[in-house]
Amino acid sequence: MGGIYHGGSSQVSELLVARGVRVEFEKIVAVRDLDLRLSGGQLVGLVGPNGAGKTTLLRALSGLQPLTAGRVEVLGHEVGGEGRLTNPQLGLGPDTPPVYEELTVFEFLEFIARQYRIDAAARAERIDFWLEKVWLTEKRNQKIKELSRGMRQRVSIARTLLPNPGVILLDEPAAGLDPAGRIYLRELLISLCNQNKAMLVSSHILSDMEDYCTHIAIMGHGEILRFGSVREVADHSEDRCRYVMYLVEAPPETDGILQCLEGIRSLRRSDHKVEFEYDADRARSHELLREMIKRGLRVCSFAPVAPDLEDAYLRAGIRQVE
Amino acid sequence: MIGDTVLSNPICWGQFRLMGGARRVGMWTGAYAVIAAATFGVACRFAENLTVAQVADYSLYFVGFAQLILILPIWGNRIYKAVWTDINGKMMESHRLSPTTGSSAVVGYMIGPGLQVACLCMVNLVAGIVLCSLSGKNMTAWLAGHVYILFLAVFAWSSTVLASLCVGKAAGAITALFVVLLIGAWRVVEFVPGLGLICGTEMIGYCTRVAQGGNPGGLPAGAGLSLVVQILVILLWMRGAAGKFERPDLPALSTEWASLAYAGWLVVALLGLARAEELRLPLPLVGFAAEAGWQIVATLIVSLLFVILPLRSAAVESQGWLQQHRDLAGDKPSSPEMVALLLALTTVIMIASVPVWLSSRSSSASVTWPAVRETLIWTTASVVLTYVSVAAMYRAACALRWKKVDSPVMWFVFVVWILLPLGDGVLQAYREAATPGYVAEPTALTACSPAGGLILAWNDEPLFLWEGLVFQAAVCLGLFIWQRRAVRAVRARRVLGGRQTSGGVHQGA
Repeated sequence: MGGIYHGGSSQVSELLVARGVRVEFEKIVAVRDLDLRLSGGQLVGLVGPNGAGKTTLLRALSGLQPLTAGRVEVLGHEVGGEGRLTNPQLGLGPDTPPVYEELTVFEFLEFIARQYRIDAAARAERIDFWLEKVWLTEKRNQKIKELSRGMRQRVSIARTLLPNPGVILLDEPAAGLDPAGRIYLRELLISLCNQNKAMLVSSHILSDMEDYCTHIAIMGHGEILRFGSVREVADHSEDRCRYVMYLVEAPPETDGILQCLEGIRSLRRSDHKVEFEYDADRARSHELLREMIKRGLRVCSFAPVAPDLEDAYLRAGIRQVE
Repeated sequence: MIGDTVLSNPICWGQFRLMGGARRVGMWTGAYAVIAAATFGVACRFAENLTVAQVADYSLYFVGFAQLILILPIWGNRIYKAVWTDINGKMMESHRLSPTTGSSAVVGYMIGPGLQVACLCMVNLVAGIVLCSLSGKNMTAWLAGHVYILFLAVFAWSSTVLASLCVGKAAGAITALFVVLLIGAWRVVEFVPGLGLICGTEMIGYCTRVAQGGNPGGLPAGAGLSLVVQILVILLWMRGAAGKFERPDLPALSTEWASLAYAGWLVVALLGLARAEELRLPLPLVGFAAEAGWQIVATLIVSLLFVILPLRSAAVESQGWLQQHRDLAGDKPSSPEMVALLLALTTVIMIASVPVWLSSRSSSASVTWPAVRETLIWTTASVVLTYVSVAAMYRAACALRWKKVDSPVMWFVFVVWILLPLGDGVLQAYREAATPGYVAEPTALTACSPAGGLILAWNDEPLFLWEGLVFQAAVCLGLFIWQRRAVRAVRARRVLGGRQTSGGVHQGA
């Protein structure tokens, strides 16, 4: 059984606990015996290639996808089991927002509020609050069918957050959002995180996730390949590191010299700037620098680049699922 | 007040808003009322040879017909469309994520999509009352007819919600089949009197007579019993639909509930057989009178189809348990074959009581106890083999994770039940036509089919029965072996799969 992924201290209450979650579709294993724990105040970014099992995992955690094996608990209550599959304390924002096209934005959210038995007196106020949060106040009385994809996505986010769930799962919430929308979404997620919600957000926009996630889970072939805080995942590397070097001058033989050096990979040069991958070990990089100077390269600066999520993702050895 | 209660149901409210809300519904209702009144006015003005009372009398027929059309097919279709649209557009998943309970959702779907139609029905009801008073017809009968129609409608709506949740798009075909069954119900009831109790066919006849404005006479004999049966079926269907809403991964009815429903059907079937004479509709309506033997055979065949419900549930639950309990520890659910055996024996015991009862009631009955002793032995064996075969097929399909677990059973029913006797019939007819002096009679092919065999056994044609039974036993044995191998292979794969995945350990923070 895989290790249990959790990022918070044990003192923080665990709002979502998944043990041995396995989802199979006929002969395909979409999620493979996965364990996951989410505590309040954690915002876990779920990344991985298409077909890695991210959406299936989110659906399985929400109870919409029946488990082949395993168990999911939300706030101590088992999802599925003998009772109903879902738990109203959990909010799921799917990648394709389900909406009633013929209703206005306000009517649709009122419908959701009624489903969640939100007090009639507080209903309108709460809907308006969330419409403002997702920047849709102006579209309040517009039919959903008249909205753009990005705006529908915002309606979906409002629908998910309206009942004030303790655990929030969002599948590609930034898909279809314009740059300003992405910035607002980031702020919204950070504010929810500060309200001690447990969140699991899948996305392909790694640069954004680096800004707002507390933890990152890299998923591939139904398994979590890396899990940890953003820094831990970003810093994680096998043995290699990316280096940037600036030369005082770049004579024609520069490329030949660099290519002859042992251990250098992914070499790129544009004029005086050279980028390459080399051993992460400091002593070895020192040896390399000495060798380059010895061979006549006039090095102006030489430094390892702090790895980011994109590097970590690429280094995780993930390939597109066929 | 009723409106508030109905609209406090979120799905009802949602569907009402989707129709455009009170303003749009009110507009449609007003327009309908105006058109109806105008049509009546024009009819009175231009029908020179008819008095207003006579026009009202004819109009009552149209209003009654419109009422039936609105309440049954149109309302049912709205329900089907609403459920299907929600499934297709993933709104059903949104509902499932919310605290909406299954029963609330089912009530919402039964009433919500039909609220606009309900307003038109109210117009018809009022129009009917006015027309009754104008034509001098019995107003009480008109209102009583509506009560009956309402029960029938709730039965149809609950069936539609259940079918839509269980089979999605195919529910449209099922609803259409239901309507066809209702239309042709008088003939079906002649063969399976128990169905008459469930469908309330007597009530349809009564209501039609009311709608036609004729003298409906007294209440049908089985009206009370029909109502009780219908209420029970409605509750069962609603429970099944609520269960399916909450747990789409499980069968609508658990093995226990489905077995109970099956036992209930047997009781209803038995009551129908025992009261066949009372339930029998006037001969001109039906055109023939089925004999007790045919009624028993038809009831048994319907039971063979009905038993699919509990056997499917047992197989799905059994497979689910195997998946969740790799160590095979804990309370294991009953095996589908055991459920099949129990249900088969219950069926035969209950059906056997019919000849006993008929013998004690009348010495002239066509089916009597001593005469059918051997037939019952054959029936018992055939029913047991058929039920176990169906259970084995479901279990194998579930173990092999076939997407359509019903496929093997459907093929089995089509090929073994229908195609064999049908092929035999065609072959015999061809030989009779081609060979002078040849007398067509059923061969072993017919007896190989459980349905064909039952027809032969219960109608004094005991030809090739035991040969047919040998074939059925061979099929059952083959299916049982297939099932065992499928289950064993899956178990082995699961154990292996568990070992493989346990190797990859990834330690988190």
